[in-house]
Parts: sequence; structure tokens; C-alpha cells
Amino acid sequence: MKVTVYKALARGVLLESLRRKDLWVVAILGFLILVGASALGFFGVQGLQVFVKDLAVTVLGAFSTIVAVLTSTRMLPEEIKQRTLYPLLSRPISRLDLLVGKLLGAIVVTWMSFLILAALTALALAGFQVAFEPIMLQYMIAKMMGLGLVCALGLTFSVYMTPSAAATSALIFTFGSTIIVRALTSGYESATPAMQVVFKLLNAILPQFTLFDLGSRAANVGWSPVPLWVMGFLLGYWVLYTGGLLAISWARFQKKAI
Amino acid sequence: MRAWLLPLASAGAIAAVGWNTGEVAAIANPPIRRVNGADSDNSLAGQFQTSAVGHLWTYTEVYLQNGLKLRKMTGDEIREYKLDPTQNHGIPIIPTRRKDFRGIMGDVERAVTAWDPRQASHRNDPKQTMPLFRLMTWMDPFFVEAWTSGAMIINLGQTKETTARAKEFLLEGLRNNPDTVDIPNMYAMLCIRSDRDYTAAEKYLKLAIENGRKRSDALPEAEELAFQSAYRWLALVYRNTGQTSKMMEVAEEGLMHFPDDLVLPTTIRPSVAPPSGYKAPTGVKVRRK
Repeated sequence: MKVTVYKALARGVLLESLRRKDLWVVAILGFLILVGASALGFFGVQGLQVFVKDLAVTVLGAFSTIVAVLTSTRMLPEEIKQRTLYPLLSRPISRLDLLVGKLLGAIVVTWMSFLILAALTALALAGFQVAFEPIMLQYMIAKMMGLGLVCALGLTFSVYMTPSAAATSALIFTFGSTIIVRALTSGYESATPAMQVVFKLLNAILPQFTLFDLGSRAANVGWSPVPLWVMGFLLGYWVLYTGGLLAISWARFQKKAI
Repeated sequence: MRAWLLPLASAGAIAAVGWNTGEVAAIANPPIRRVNGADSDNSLAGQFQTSAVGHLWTYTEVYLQNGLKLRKMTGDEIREYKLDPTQNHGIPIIPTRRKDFRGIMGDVERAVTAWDPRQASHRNDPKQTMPLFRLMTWMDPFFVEAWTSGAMIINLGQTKETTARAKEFLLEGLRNNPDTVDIPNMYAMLCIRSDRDYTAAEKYLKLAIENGRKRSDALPEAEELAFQSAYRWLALVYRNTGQTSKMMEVAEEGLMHFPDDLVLPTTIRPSVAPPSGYKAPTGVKVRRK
């Protein structure tokens, strides 16, 4: 394991993000959450916990996904464009190390942004006297794994496409994941046997971001925490799928003329 | 010229223009009135408004069912579950294990989302949906059902405070929809039920009837019911305030519009005194001669 290499590369991504003041954007988004939350006082707070929590998980999910996509899709293209990739690759690191390090960096930046936003959201929720429930902790852990998967997808797309195309495609996949899965499950029964095979294949290869979203359970009343085997499955799926995506991007990146 | 003067002057000019855009809005971006059968929703903004508000309207059901998302059953499903085909039936949007081809992925999705068919029978406090109605009325102030349903939810507690808030909400709706029937009718009902304020109720019921008369050919179903209800309530108001001739006039006019109405004739029928040996059930007051 080249821990030192990965650590140095991830640190580079984090410093670059700080230099670009990305975290300022996160802070502004967080401020907007607080302002929006204070505007909710208009409705009166009594008995509106579901709405407040639903809004919180929706905003938190959307903002952190956008940060994950934007961070992961522009890392490599910017390194290539600014020619900072050459000094990096002249060191004793392989292209795969570079990808792994960059991915870890993107995950760290995204998780930091998510935790900042989550802290501000928690502050807003506390203002509405929303009690903390164990399911909220599970929501955060699952969401962080999901964001890691978004980063892996973004990085893979950025190896194959231009930064804009990669960001757009990643956003379509992440936000459209639920719609795609719903279409597959709804249409499966009435599809022909040949199409059912296609549906199964699509379901197997498409990233299942929906599985990492415990928002509907966390926002509503009295839902119990999910069983541990589910969290274990999510961890396994995340690691396996991220590994697969890294392999796909490495296959392209190792042959890419820079 | 100093360098900072130009940005300052530009910002000032922008602020000056922005400050006065209120008058331009009515001309440049006229409010879209959603009327049945009208083609007013054809614009992109209108379509967006309708879709967004429609989404919020259906989302109230998700709130009531504690996060469980349902979809309409297909004909095959209705036959399979041997349900009444003339009715609409809902089924969880995530299929059951038996119907899900995804295996463990389906199991995980059912575990991480608010999914449980038993949840369909559980109802959350309807007050949770209030913010959705407030958002609907902000996004589309002409969505009459949102104003009336929202007022109904505000007044669920039926206290003086909730009634006052519901009435305030309805008045806001009436300012945005001065030609509606449903809103003044509901406002009058609140005046009667909670305050026994027949004077205010008469004023708003008359307004509802006047609006109904003007648009009687193009009233949507809910408004038509409100139009009929306004005649009934106004007849009751006149009956309870002893204005018999006015009661008769209103009832006759109401029956001209709604000849099949069964309530209006009973409203104007003289009360029949019960036989002397009649014992009323607990809680029921009987009129004595």
C-alpha cells in the first residue's frame, strides 16, 4: 500500500479545493440553509417536523451531490490543462496511484463539505426542536458512502469526456438514478422476456445511488434504523463498485496520451 | 473620473430600475389564471407552475402516509388483487419482494426507504402538510383548492385561534381570486360554525352566489358544489335569523340552478314538532312548540 503517496495526492486535492475557495461556496450554501430554515418560522413550528426534516435531507443531499460531482469531474482535466500532471507523473508513482489518490482527495473534500452542511443543517433542525434519532446517523453514514460512489463515477467520466460533459452525465446519473430504477421495476413485469434480460443487465450495471439514500426514513416519523446487514451490504457495494469504476478509468487513463 | 464611481453609478442605476419593476411585472409577466378548459397553461411558465404545484399536491399524500410513496394500480393489478375496478387503488411504488426482479438490491431498497405496505393504513397528522399548501399558494395563488384545503387543515383544532388563522388564510386567497365561489363559501361556513356571525356569513355567501352566477357555465366541479352549498347555507342563515321571505327567495333561486337538490327543500320546510311522548337521544336537542 502506498499510503504516503495517496495521502500526498489527496492532500493536494484538498489544498487545491481550499485555494479555489470551494468550501466558501459550501459555507454560502449552508448559510442559505439557515436563512431558509429561519423563513420556515412563517409556517409555525408546531407539528411540522416532517416538513423540516424532509427539506433538510433534500437540500443536504442535493448540495453535497453537486459538490461531489464538480470536485471529482474537474480534478484530472485541470491537471492536464495546467500541465501540472507532468511533474506529478515524473515521480515514482503509477497512473493508477494517481487515480486512487485523486479519488481519495475528492472523497475527502466532498465529505468535508457534507459534514459542514450537515452541521449547519443540524443547527437549523435543533432550532426547530427536532430530536436526534439513530436513523439520522445511519442516514449520514450511508450518504457519505453514496457520495464516495458519486466521486468515483465523476472521476471515471472525466477520464473519458470533457469536464462539462462529465459533470452533466454524472449529474444525470446521480439525480436520475431513482427514475431509472423505478422505470425498470415498473416495466419489468409487462416487458417481453428479451427485454427483461436487458432490464436485469441495466439494473446490474447502473450505479444504484438510491440505495444510499435513507432520507425518506430519516424525515418521517417512527421509522426504525435499518438492519446492520444492510449497512454491510452498502459498504460492500460501494467498495466493489468504486473498485470497478477505478479499473474502468485506469484502463483508459493508462493508454491516454498526455 | 474616479475608478469607483462607475461601479457605484451602475449599481445605483440597477437598483433604481429594480426598485420600480413592480409596475412592469403586471404587464411583462401577467399572472396566469388557471381556469378549466382555458388554454392559459400553454406557456412554459404555466406548465412549470402547474407541474410543480401538482407535484406538491400529490406529495401531501406522501406526508400523510409517513413517507410511503404509492402509485396507481394497473388494470392487471386490480384484477389480480380482486379489487373494485371502478375505483382508483394505490400500491407502493417499490414492488414487494415477490414482484421485484432485483433480488437483494430490492431487499436493500425496501430496507432503506420508508417502505411497508402496512404503512398505507397509517395516517400522519394532516397538519404536517400545511407547509406544502403554503408553498402551493405561493407558487400558484390561483389554485383555489390549495387555499380551501389549507384553511381546512389550519382549522383542524377548531379553536378560536385556528379559526382566525384559517379565515385570514382564506381572505388572502380571496384577494388573489376575487371571482371564486369556494373561498367565500368556506369563509362564511367558518363564520357560522365557530362565531355564529350571520352578518359576515351573509355577506360572503352573497359574494359566493354572485360569483357563481357570473361563471355558472364554466364552474369546475368543486366550485359548482360550493355554489350549491352557498345557496343552502344562505337559506339557513335567513332561516336562523327569521328572514323567512329572503330564505324562500334564496331557496327558489337555488332550486332553479340545482333542481335535484334535496337539502334546500328540507331547509325551507316548516319544522314538525315531535309527539309529546318522544324522547330524544342523548345530546340531541328537540324543538318544542
